[in-house]
Amino acid sequence: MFGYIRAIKPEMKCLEYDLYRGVYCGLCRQLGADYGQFSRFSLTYDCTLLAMLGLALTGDTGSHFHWQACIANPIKKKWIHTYHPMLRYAAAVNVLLTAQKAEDGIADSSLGKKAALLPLLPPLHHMAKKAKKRYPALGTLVEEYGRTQNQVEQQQVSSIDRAADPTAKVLAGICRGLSHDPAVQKVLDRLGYHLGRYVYLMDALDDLEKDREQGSYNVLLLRFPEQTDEEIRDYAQQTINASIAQVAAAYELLDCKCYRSILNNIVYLGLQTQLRLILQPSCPKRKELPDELTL
Amino acid sequence: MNSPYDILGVSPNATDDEIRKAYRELAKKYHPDNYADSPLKETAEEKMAQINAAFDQIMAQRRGGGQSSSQQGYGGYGSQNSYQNASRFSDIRQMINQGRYEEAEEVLDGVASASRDAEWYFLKGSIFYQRGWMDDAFQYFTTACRMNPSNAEYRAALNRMQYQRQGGFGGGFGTDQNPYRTGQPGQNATGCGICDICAGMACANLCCDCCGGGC
Repeated sequence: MFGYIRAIKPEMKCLEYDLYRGVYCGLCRQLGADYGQFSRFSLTYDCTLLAMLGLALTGDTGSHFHWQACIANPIKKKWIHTYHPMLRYAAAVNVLLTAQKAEDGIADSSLGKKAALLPLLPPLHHMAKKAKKRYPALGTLVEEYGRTQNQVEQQQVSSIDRAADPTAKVLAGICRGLSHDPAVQKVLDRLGYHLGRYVYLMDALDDLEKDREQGSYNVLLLRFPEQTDEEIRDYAQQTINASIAQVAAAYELLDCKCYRSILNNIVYLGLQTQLRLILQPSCPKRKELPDELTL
Repeated sequence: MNSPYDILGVSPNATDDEIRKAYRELAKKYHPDNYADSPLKETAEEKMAQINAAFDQIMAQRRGGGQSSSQQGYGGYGSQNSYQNASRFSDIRQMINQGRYEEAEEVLDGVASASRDAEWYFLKGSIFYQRGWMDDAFQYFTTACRMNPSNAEYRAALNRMQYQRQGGFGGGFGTDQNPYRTGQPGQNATGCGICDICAGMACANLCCDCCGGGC
């Protein structure tokens, strides 16, 4: 995915950060174990949230954090979460979405970029195939997403909601997979839908200037053909905020048995902070700064 | 089975005040305002009923079977937001109440454009809202309010959305469970009146300004 959904580090306790990192590292290892070393480069924080949410719903019993080093940094040891079915699920999601994104990227990028991306495709395909075999329903879901997303772009859809719908739906389906309880699935569905809407619109907002220059498809530009970037940003911020509120409302109904404070950080703080960061073009991208330092 | 103490998230040794506080915070979280028009309304209602029962049970035990008191506070999942008003579209309101959104939309779309009044726009907006199409929902609620500015139902729906669009959250935000940003707008969401929503919006605006959020 895109890395918009993440915790805000300066607001975390050291222990919270260690656990968050630990799940991130555990997920990275799971990727390596399931899909080969190459797949580990595709890891994003979005899938870490997915894994953490899944672990929180199950209570994460029976798993452990190990004090180990990793190939990326063999000298420094850190806590790493052990293999867990929830990590395996999140890893599959990560692989499938990365492969899908690379395919889309090749379809609408320039020749030079295409040449750079093409060699990546076969290994990504191979990984995606493996993931599909392991989670057939997930595979169909992501395929459907790719198909509907293409349609949106070809038809030059100018409705924000319609354009965001494929991404929102795929994330709704993915989140639903975190639980087997229909009552919880209903809540996860709403949560995922608005996480997806959030991610899609954040991406559109982030690419606004680039897409205007290159003339690529961007729903915000089609929705507001006359307006300046400033006005579009203002409007997009409001509609993204509406989705954040829906995510938060759904999240409150979930019975998280652990990692609550980390998830709180992501849901209540992370989503809005990332939005604020991309609204400030001068701000270094993805840099996690608190907006005010108060104790 | 969860004990009433587990449901409220307090220890059995907690004082009455601690229990009351925990109950109030949860009640704020599951407040009907946060879930009006949402498909999660029923889930929130169940949660509310659960904490009400847990609170009553604890208080009754402690007072040796005395009176319970959750009714004084946030018992309030009334029918205030269910679509029951007598109107031209009462059949559609009934469908929405029963969660038959697709049918409701189909019937609505069949209404000739000449007879699409404020209520039509409001109901259509509600359907978009529950589907998660927040932008369309906002447009339709806005149109409904423009066509009939005096209707409190439409106005409340629009105000809720405006509050969210300014970065407001449901009741859980800003409480002890979410210790970030104690001065944020969500804190004001205890009441459900329009005034509170307005105050919340004003606060949201202030917060945005003072942290240089660029709004």
